[in-house]
Amino acid sequence: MSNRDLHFRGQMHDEDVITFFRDHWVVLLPRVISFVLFMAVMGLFFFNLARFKLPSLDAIFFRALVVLAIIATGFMIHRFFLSVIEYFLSVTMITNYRIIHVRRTLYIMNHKESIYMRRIQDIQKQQDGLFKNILRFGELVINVFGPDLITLTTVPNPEYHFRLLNRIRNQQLNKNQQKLPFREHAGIDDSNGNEENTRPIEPLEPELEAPPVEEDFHSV
Amino acid sequence: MNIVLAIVIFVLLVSLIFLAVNLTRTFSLSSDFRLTESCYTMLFRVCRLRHFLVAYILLVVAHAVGSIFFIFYLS
Repeated sequence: MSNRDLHFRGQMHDEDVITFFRDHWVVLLPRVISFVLFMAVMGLFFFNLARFKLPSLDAIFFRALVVLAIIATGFMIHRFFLSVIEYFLSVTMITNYRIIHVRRTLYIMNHKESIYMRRIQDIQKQQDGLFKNILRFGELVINVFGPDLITLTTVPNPEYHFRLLNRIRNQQLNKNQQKLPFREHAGIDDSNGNEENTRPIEPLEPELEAPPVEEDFHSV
Repeated sequence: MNIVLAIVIFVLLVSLIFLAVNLTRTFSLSSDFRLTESCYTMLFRVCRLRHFLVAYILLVVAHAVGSIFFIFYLS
């Protein structure tokens, strides 16, 4: 059965989603605290209106103040929930072929990154600090072939994801090595080292060169 | 008072329209993923996006009703 577009748009036909995660909930904590405080103040004010001696709406300054207060409260509510929606829309998925890192907001940002397992050179787990160790979150620094260094921040349970990524990467490497005995493929005979036995290197099979790339993934 | 009420109603209408657009776009974007069955790091393991969206709707509606009530109370 094909897995094409099964769990996310752009999933390849033989690609399995092994796990996925969002940022650790600690990223939402400052916003949640400020919003709860704001709502508590507003609630206290609203349910104790009778205790305040407010001027009438005839005063122009007070009119402007009321309108501004209503706009500000509406803005705060929308801003908080937009950040929550952004939190839920930003996902990192780990499949047997790649890591897909999606960062998006409703209107402004739409960032997708795909890191193939065979490109990964090594992975570092960084979990420095008291809170990071108590609340179990940290950074995964992925060193890929080439000058690039990719950092996944606020990864929840980084130990688990670190071990998982290493395991998948090793499986992928072993699979490729089993499928592609390079020296046999290149026709090199080690027994006598005779150049006459050396055949020109044939191009790799397409499926071993790279997993099929989904065309419409970046246009999602 | 009429001017204030008109401005506030306009602001609240904009707020409600913005809410509707946000909800539509959220459903559209979140349908790209069908991963909600077992999120390892779901916030507190019980909160889902739909819970927040319900809270969002309730708060915006409560804000609109409360604002109009507040204007009438002041007048």
